Amino acid sequence: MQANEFDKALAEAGTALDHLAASRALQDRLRGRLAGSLRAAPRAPASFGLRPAWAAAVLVAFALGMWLRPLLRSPSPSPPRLGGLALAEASADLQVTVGPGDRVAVLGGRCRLLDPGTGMALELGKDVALRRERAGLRLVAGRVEVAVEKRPAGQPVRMLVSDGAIEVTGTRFTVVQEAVGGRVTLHEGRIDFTAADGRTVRLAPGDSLAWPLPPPAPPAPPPAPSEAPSAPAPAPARPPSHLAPRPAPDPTPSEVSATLERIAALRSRGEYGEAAEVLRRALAEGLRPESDELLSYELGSILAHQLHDPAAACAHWERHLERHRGGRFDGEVEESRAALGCARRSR
Amino acid sequence: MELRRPTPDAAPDAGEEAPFELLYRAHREQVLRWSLRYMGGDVTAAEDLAHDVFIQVLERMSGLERPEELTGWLYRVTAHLAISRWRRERSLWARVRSALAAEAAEPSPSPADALELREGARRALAQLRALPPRERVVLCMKLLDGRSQRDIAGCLGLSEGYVSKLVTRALARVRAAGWTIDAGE
Repeated sequence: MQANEFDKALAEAGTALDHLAASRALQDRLRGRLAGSLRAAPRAPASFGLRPAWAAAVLVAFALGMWLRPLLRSPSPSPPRLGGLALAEASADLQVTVGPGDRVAVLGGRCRLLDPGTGMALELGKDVALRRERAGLRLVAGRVEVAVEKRPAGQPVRMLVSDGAIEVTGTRFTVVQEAVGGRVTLHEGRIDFTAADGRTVRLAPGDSLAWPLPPPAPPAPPPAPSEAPSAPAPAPARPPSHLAPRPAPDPTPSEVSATLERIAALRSRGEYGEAAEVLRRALAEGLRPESDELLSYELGSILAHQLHDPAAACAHWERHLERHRGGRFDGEVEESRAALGCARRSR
Repeated sequence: MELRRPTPDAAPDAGEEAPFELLYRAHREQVLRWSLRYMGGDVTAAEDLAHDVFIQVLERMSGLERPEELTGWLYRVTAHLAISRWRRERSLWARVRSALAAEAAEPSPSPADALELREGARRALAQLRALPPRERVVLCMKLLDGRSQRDIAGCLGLSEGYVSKLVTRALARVRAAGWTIDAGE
């Protein structure tokens, strides 16, 4: 960077400011100031939209809540909800956001969430993101410990991951979703993993499985005519289906992996504009359809949910559907288009 | 870290989908981030701004029709308060009060105290602080948030043409100060 390039110098300063915003010291000072202001507030100012008596009651209740919080012991009769999931337990340092589409992201601390519809209990730590979708609960990123009560036959619980779905009939397991692929380890009970291409793998306690699954092994070649027909060549050894090794499905995995890691780093710093530019450049290079679909979906998500640019997002989703109609993100893209009102914009 | 049950809502309201405490904890970092940018790295001013934003949240959250749009609402409120704050401070009366209180006031921690910055980044922040409030906020939205001029106009309730004028003026001031800039205008 040259010394006088303003946009780059400002970007560097912006990153430093973002780190400062994340600092505990600054956040504690803000909290202290808010609590002090509310203690000192004699009455609600006339410009408030609330009636003064009610506004004063809310302010007093908030101030009491802020100061008495560490001392309170009684559980709430109705626990707060995060993206439709009940917050059953939370560490003192829990930091969590609920974004568009009920996307729950844990930024710090730990918590235990309950899905009232399925009875699924999830223990989450830092850097976990979940989203409820029509087909089930999707683990977007991070590591989750899951426990599910035994389910009636034919009524499994589903956790969606990047390259398939975990169907749970009653068990405990740990699932990790990374930038590219992930893995699940079963501790108790039984789960089935259904890959995006329809293959199903059943896991037993103690098994681990990584996705994406490797492509199906090719059939054994027929024996050469000169070989004795009574001694055919043995079929090539295959690993047990429930212990699939970690695959590399894209012929250029390092390109997509590197891009996705860079995107994850830019996202963590809130540099969404830069992340969008990185994705645009990567998409312009010509990728395999699966990689193009993945990066294209990532770009549309950033345009819609982080950069809040409905016009650009709608235009991008239209191009995405032209290229990947019937793809794995169709449901999410249509939901985003509906939320953005893309059909109304295109008229 | 042991898990424990969360505390009850401080200000229950049948119309609210999340307690203020949860909202505050969920958005404090984001609001501080925007505040620090719009205040050009002035930590005390950014704290003041973030404080005012959350007071607005407390005052108006019961009337928020679509809680899922809270992030966008916070973004707009932070930007508007940043602009109006600087206008208040630049008024004649505010400058007189500031001069009279100067001896009694505690020194505001400079960005240098709170941040470890290279010289170029430090100068860029100083240049940002030198811009008029609207130009500063618009330039932050464009360069740091990657917003389009159309989106900026929507956020600030301005016309796209006026936003374009603000961007042009801001970039002209930056270049006049000796910077080069590739803003994709």
